[in-house]
Amino acid sequence: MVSDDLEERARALFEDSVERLDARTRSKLTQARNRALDEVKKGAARRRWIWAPAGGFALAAVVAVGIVLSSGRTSQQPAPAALEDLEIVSNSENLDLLQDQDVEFYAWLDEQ
Amino acid sequence: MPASVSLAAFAGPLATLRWDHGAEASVEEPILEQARALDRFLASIEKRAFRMARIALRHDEDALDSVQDAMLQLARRYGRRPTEEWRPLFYRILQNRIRDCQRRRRVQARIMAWLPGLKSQDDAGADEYAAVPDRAPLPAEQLATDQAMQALERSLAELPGRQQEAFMLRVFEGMDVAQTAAAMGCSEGSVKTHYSRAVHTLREQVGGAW
Repeated sequence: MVSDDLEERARALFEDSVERLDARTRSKLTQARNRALDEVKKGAARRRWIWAPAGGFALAAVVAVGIVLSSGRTSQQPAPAALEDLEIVSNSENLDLLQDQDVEFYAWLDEQ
Repeated sequence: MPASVSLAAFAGPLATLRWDHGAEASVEEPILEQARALDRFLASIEKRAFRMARIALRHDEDALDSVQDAMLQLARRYGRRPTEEWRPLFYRILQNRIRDCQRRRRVQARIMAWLPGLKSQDDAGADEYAAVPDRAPLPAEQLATDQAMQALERSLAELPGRQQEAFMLRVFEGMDVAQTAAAMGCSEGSVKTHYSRAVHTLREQVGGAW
């Protein structure tokens, strides 16, 4: 069939031209590919950067809500002690200590 | 009554938020695997993609820019999609880039028509190596092949854009009708129509010479 011959011939010519691409073009294509791969790694690094502090902020939010709820005050103005506690727990450096410690220990301690 | 804070009161919620540094290493492996898979895919198609862009744009640098843009877009926006979706996505992006380039050229051509004193953009993109003669003459068979390919390229370049796309994706890239429709963003019926018209035109123009 004429169209099949045309397709086969066209495909063969095309493949030949692909194989004979010059070195300069091949090099440019490799560079472009490497830039695209860098985007994959950058994207992954951005996602880690976003989610890592989010875990700390979520922790601070939980503690802050707990402070407000456990204060027992009806006034809209939080107690100075509660504000100081909020500042302490929202400090990310202190959160590292909390994260590394065994929280079940503190639960047991509170029951004593 | 002053507020009292008991860390133990939050033991439950805190326990669920415990940071596991050991998990960080296991997060890296899927990312590396994704990068490796993307590397394999792009390496398998980059040369054919360039040749197809070159046929459409008739300009080496524009073709390289289009392929590079398509690679970056695929990596940025669709790199986390299933790998079987990459090929039609890549060629859809590439065809969009090619059309953007062709549109820019038409606008530039209209501007140049009104301002003939300005230097043409095509002159800036001329290949500096084009004037360098080949060191050795090509064998007769290779010369005939080159001439046949040049004739095919000229005919393909003159086809309407959609017919050109359908033919190159079906014949050069080996996509079936469904894959071609996904890459072109049209129905399978449209692909068949564009393709059959392209074959008919090419058969008339170059088929006889072969």
